[in-house]
Amino acid sequence: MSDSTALPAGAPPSHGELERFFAMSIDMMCIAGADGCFKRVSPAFDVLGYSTEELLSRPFLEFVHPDDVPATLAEVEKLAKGAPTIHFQNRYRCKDGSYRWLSWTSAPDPSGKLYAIARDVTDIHGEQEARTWLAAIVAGSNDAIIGRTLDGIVTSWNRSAERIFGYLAEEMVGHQITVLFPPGRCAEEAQNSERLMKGERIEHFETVRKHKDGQEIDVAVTLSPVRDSTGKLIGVSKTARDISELKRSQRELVGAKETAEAANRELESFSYSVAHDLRAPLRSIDGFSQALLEDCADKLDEDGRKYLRFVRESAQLMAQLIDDMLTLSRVTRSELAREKVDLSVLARTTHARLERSEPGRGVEVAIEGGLEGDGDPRLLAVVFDNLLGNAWKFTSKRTGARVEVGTTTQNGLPAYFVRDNGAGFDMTYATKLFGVFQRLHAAHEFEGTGVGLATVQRIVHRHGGRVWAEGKVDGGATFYFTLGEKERKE
Amino acid sequence: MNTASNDRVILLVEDNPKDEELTLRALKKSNILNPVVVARDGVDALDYLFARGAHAGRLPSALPQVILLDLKLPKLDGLDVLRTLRLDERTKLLPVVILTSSVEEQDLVRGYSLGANSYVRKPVDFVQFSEAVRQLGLYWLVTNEVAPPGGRP
Repeated sequence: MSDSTALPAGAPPSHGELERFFAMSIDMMCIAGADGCFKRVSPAFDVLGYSTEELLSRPFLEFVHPDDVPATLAEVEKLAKGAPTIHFQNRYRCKDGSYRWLSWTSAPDPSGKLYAIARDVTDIHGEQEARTWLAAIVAGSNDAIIGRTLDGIVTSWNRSAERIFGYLAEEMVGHQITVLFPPGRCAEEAQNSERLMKGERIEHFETVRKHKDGQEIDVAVTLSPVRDSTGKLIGVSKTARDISELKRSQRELVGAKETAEAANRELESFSYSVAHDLRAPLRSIDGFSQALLEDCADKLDEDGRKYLRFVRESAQLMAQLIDDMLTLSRVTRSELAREKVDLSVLARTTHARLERSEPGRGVEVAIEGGLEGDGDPRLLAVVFDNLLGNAWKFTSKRTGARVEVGTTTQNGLPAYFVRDNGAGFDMTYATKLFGVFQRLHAAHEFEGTGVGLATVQRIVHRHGGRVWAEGKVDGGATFYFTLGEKERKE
Repeated sequence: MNTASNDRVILLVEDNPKDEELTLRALKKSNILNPVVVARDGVDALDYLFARGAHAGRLPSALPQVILLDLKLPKLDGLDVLRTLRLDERTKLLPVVILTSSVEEQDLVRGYSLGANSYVRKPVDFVQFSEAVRQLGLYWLVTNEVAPPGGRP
């Protein structure tokens, strides 16, 4: 070093040396005049994007964010009265229209000039803002959000944690989280900690925790490991949702279901004993009427014998009613066991039985082959028993009786049908057909209990299908049904 | 041809006296002349078969040709009677026809599982009832050859 540049210790820096610092400083240095305009700005002001000329041409207040102008004016006034400015912050508008946060330091000067240094703190502000956001989210969350160390010391406790568990933040922060554990649940914590140590996240873990008042609360907990900037595990973040209400309604639902099932079972055994016990007296009525007809025929006149026949017919009709009602209730209760069913086979089985029961009726029966459906084979067999049985019955007064089983398309979906050329019905009553005990024919024309089509409808509905009928008095009837229509629409 | 079948007893286990009367009438009308012993509850039926209680002193080796068994019975129900019969060497091969009002699927399955030889639902129509009894009698008393009592394979 030459002598001219060597400074004697303690001597003030020369003007040239200060100029060099001014040019080098990463903080922004400036001097403003009493007119409110910058007189000098250091190169660090480049961050705002203006040229030096632009910065010097206008009062500096014009660069200040409008919201920060009053505070800035107040600060300048304070300075003028001799108070220093330390870390005063305001926003400066950049040339591109964005703002940067500046933190000002200044000391009063008797000359009336303003000597000031500003530091760009925009990035720090951004972080703070993000932190404020996060804090607001945590505070406003409906779930309890709790931070804890690896050994279970609570580090943060939000408002919902206060609400759900009843402890204030000051009661919990710095204390063991285990106060929330009901007896017998402490092992859970150890197991969870072990998984967390491996870096696992534990999601929606349903358990029970204890409120400050001692009451147990159902909660769903999510635990995730928290790491520091070097990746080291330092704690656990825990969110807990109060699911007591949910659990309570679940329990209520389960209870209601059990009650309903119990009632159903009771009803089932009731209908079986009714069916069983009602048949015994009917058998006596029928049997002893027949015995009278056989043993005492000579003591009865024509009317007497007719009346006894009526008694027997009534007993038998009632037995049929009991059986039909039992089928109807069974159809409603039994579980659906769905599979691919060959409906043609079901129809042929029913047809064969009808032929056996009334051989020589001479009904022409045409059953389309390979009719497939998705459903419970036993219940679908009941559908064909009823529909084909009806077709069989209502063609009994027809010569050249014909019954047809097939498919057609209805709204793009297959609809199965059973068609006959029998007695038919008046379409005015088409909707009444499927009601229980609804009959469109007098008993002396066609016998029946009026339960069959109601049973068909229930079975079809249970399969998510529809059933409907078309007919004309003395012009035959066609019954259509679909299966699984609801599921297909969904 | 089992010529001795006319002497063999039919055991009718039936608690309803009217059903008993109807069954006896149907048997008679079908010309089935075998003696019929009627037990009115499950315990009575077992006492008869094992020659004990009210039936003590009866020759226990004289077993009925066929048992017509109702299911709903006082004291011990039909399925319990059947279970007991099948567990005993003396009666395990005895033909048992369940004759009942019930067509409860459960009863059918349990009846056959316990070793019933046949399951017949009593029709309400007496003409059909008579026909069912006639066929049962024909089959179990005439057509069918019974295993020798206490028989072993």
